[in-house]
Amino acid sequence: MQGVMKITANILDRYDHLFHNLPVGLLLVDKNDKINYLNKIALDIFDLDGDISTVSINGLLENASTTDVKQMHDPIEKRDITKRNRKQVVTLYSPYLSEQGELLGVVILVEPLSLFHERVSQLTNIDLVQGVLQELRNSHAKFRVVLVDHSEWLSSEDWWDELHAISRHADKWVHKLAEIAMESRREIKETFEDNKVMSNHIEIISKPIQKYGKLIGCVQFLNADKLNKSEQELQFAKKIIRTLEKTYQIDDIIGESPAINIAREHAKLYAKMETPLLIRGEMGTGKYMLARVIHTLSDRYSHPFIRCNFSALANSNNMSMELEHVLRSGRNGTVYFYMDEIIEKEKQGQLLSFVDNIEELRVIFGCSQGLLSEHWKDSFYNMIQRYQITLPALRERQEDISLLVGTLLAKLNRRYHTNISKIDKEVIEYWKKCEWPGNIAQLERTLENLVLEADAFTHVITKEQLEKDDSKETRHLHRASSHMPLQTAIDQFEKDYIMLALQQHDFNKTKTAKSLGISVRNLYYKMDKYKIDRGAP
Amino acid sequence: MTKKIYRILVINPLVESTRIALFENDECLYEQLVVLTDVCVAKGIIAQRDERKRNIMDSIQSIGIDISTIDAVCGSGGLLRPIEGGTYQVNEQMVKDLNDSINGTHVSNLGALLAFDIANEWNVNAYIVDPVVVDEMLDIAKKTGIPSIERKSIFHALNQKSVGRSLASQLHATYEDLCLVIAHMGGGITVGVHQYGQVIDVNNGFDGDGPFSFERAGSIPNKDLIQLSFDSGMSKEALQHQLINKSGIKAYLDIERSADLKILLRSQPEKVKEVFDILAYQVAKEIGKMSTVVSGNVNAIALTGDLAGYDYLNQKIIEQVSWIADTYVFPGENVMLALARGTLRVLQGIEKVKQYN
Repeated sequence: MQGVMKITANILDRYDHLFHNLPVGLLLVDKNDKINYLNKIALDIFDLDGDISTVSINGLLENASTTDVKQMHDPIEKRDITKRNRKQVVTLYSPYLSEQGELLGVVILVEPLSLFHERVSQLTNIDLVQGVLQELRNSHAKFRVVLVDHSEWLSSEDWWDELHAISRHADKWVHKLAEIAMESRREIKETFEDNKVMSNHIEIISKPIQKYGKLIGCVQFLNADKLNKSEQELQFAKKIIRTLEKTYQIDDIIGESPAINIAREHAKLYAKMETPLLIRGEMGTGKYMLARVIHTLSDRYSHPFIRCNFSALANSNNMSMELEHVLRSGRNGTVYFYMDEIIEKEKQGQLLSFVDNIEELRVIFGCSQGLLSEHWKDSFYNMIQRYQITLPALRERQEDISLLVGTLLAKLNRRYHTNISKIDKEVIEYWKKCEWPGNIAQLERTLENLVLEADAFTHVITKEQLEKDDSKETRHLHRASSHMPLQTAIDQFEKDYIMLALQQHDFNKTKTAKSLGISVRNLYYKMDKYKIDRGAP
Repeated sequence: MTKKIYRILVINPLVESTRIALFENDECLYEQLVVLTDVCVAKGIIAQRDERKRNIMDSIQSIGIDISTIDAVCGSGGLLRPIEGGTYQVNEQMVKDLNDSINGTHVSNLGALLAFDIANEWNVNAYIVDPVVVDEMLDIAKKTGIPSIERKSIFHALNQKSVGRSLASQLHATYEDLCLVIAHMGGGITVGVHQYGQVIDVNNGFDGDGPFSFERAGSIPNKDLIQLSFDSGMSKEALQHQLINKSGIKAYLDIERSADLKILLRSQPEKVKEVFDILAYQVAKEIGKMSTVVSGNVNAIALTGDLAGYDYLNQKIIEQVSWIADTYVFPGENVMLALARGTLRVLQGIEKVKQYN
């Protein structure tokens, strides 16, 4: 059709017979939109009897585009509707120019839409494509196609049912993903996790569709792998194994607050470096976990990760032998020294020379105390404080509490076969205001107690339950009941008493041991015995 | 202070995959088949070393095991120089011999190599336990009628010894104090006589010595074998394949896989029992033969391997050997557990580790 673009008046006269027999309708419109000429097919399409003296193009077509063509001198192809018989037609408007390039009018080629469809179906694979799409819609494939204007063009049968089953809020998320994919013109893959129930998470892949650089739409798939129940179970099992084995990965660090995001980014950055690193943060903020994550992210990941209490090591009689042992078993790996007390400057020197002289080990320090330079040898202080990551205390990232609670709850549900799906908003709000001196570890303990108190029918933990539990906490020293064997009761008391002392001394072991009148070593022994987290400060 | 619980990674390379298992003492935490890519399978066996190693380490990490908690790595032993039974630490010499395939190429050669590579990364020791080349045979047992030809000791050392130990503990005795005759009945059949912990005589099932088995021919009269090798027109390799992979039960019952035997036993029990009768006769005779090695002083007999899972066969054998000693049945074979136990004995200090020279 493009070839007829520059028809001049002379040619038109000469080939009148030819135009009448064209398989498409042909109209010539002058500069004032008056119809000058129509061939037979055009007459049929517009249902005219032959008298065209009074007809203008606007009388034949709704929203004719002649004005645009006259202005731009460019052809336009579009779908139109005829005014008289409301027929759908495909029209090609083309400027009608003299040999000098002066505009004389517009040539319009018209074809009924049905005929156009027939041609398309004969010349292209459109029928096949439509057939396949129909089959896909009815199959197990889960997909959705969106057009540029964000309207949904096609979706598989149970796309929305599937999503709504997972979350009522999935709609917004899915629309947003399509939008981002189209805007960025990149494929995006994202996982939706409902915080309440861990097992219900899905992955959606959104891919923009482009043709010749022009954005046409976006297709979204539900990732079947992720939907697969057993796959999810496996992922969860692996998560549990990671927790038991303490081989954490970056995804195991929960939280969206800026502080934790910064820590995460730092971890990624420092993982590739070989220099000593210091992780700071209060007790229970997850310093050990982060050290493990850094090891996993580093090139040393296939070598051992050794955890070592440096304060205990420093107090041992043969420090250099112990260090030698660490070096041997951790060769090519990472060693995590945690220091819960200030150590003697002489020992610091020893450690410094140890760290300086080994290339086969990467050293990460963990420290829960404030770093005051006077407690440290200058050189040691300089070494450890050069690269550091600070983990925020839980009270500094209250917004993460509900995320953390969700993850911990899912874990506890599995462990104790309970079915608590939710913690009341009120409770979360209350917790956000709490101090949490023991941080995440304390949050986990609190949740564990609540879960253990709950019966099989409890699905939601409410403020009342919390208060009940709180009052128990205050009475917990007298929890021993008469049907407990004496030894168990004594152990229970001892555990509670040590816990209380630890809390009173902000988990400083030296002070706690002193107040209890026992040695630090003995305290550690008892903490291990009662499975009190050493806190990996 | 000795640790109470040891973690041992066990590696058993197979043709197209590697079976790995993680043990806490002798309890299996998990077992996994790490499958190789076709590209890797197409490579030579030694060339697969790096990819197999990487696959194993990746799979352990993906499960989330803390590798610093692993105390030892144990591989299946390969075709080394003939050695005494026991648990060996993988050393440079062993690695060199396996790399050079001094005693033949077999996928099991990778066991020690992989264990060595991985243990090196984790700063722990690598071991192998009772490889097939265990040779504790008496000199006299090696003699044949042709002075220049000697019998070789190639047998299911790992399973036989592991069953020997289990049997000893069942009898409240130590393996090293007993005389046992153990018949391993699997793809090949080997019957060994274990005298005070040493396998002093055993038939070489692989080379056609002793009873026939699921797929092997066993002893064939010399004259007929010579006749067959000249008349059949087969090449040396084809004839060997015929004798090792296409004879025995397979030939009698015209089946391919061991699973077919189970099906056939259900559908045509009479046909299968007829073959079992012949097999039982041959195994019993071999047990009798081996019993004479220790002058009949046999404390117990054990039947093991996959074929020991068939009660009818066991019963038939027991009927004929019951006059020698009591017979115990240990169906199947657990390579992974046997390897883990061998390593554990060394880690716990029950047994001394041996050095390969």
